[in-house]
Amino acid sequence: MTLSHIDGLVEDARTRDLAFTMDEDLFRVFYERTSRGLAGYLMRLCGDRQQAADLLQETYYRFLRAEAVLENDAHRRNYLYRIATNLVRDQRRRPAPPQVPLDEPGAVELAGDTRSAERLAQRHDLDAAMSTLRPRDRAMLWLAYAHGSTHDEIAGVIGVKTGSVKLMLFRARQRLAERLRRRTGAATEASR
Amino acid sequence: MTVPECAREAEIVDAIAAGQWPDAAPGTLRAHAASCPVCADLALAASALHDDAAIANQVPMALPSAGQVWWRAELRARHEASRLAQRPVLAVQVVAAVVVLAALVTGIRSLAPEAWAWLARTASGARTVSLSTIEPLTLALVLAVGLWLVLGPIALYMVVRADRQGGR
Repeated sequence: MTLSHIDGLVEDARTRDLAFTMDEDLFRVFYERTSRGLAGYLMRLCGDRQQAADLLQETYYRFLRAEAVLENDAHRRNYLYRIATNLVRDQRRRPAPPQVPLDEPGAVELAGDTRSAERLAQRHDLDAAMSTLRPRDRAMLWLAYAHGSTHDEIAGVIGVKTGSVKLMLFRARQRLAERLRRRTGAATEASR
Repeated sequence: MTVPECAREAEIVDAIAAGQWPDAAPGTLRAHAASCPVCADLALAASALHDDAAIANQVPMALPSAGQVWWRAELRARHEASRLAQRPVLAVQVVAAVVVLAALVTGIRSLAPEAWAWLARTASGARTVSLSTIEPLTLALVLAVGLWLVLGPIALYMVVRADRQGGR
């Protein structure tokens, strides 16, 4: 079963004026295609592995329970990310600062050679810089540059007007670059 | 506010997305990014995020399987549906308990007026007599009724709760 098959079923349901509901096989295809990216997004947004895992389950649950008719794969993915973004937003009141621990699984393997160690250090800097940004900025930046979403898609996910995304993204990017430079500068100073 | 833009932003984004930034990107583009503040910010932020996503894809992540997520969602949906279905049942049970109590009082009052009069006497007497003057049989009866009134609703609640949990 492929995603175009899912699109075909949705189209079929639409022409017969029926609500499209995913069965387990369709969900399996959709999940395999989206879960990794969504897990990365949630991880980057909330900064906690366990919380990200819980939110992943909750996001798919709400996605399956929603009776929205979604026209194609892009719509389904955007809808999924919108649910995830809203869930993270709802959890924002919790006081724990977002932190991605450096000793996360896989960190040791990645630190095997010099290049990987360097990338790991960069990732650590990014974690720290991202944790100082607002959740909406984190979401926009990740969607734009890690996920490759268009302004229109970002607007749909975070719930703002498409016209506002450009400016908001510009500002968020400026803030992130500034913090990354500050961290890199501080690390260079410390190594002297 | 006008967003500061640069005509070469798209080129930088494309190079980053293709994994060419910075080493495999054209030298002119790198030189431009070094001198243009808009592109410098873009290159720094976008390449950091792109690399981060690439690393995240390499790192083995313990994601639940599609089947697990599907069945957990199914189970939860069933629990929620059963909880919603039981809400009116609980309301009906409360109303039924009140109706039975009212019927019991009315029944005693109309069918056995002597018993009702005795209850009324006992109730008014309880306000005036002390424990030392009350008959032991009456005392035992009052205690039994009081105990029943207290424990009855608790027992009913426990039975209803066990029944609801068993139904899940």
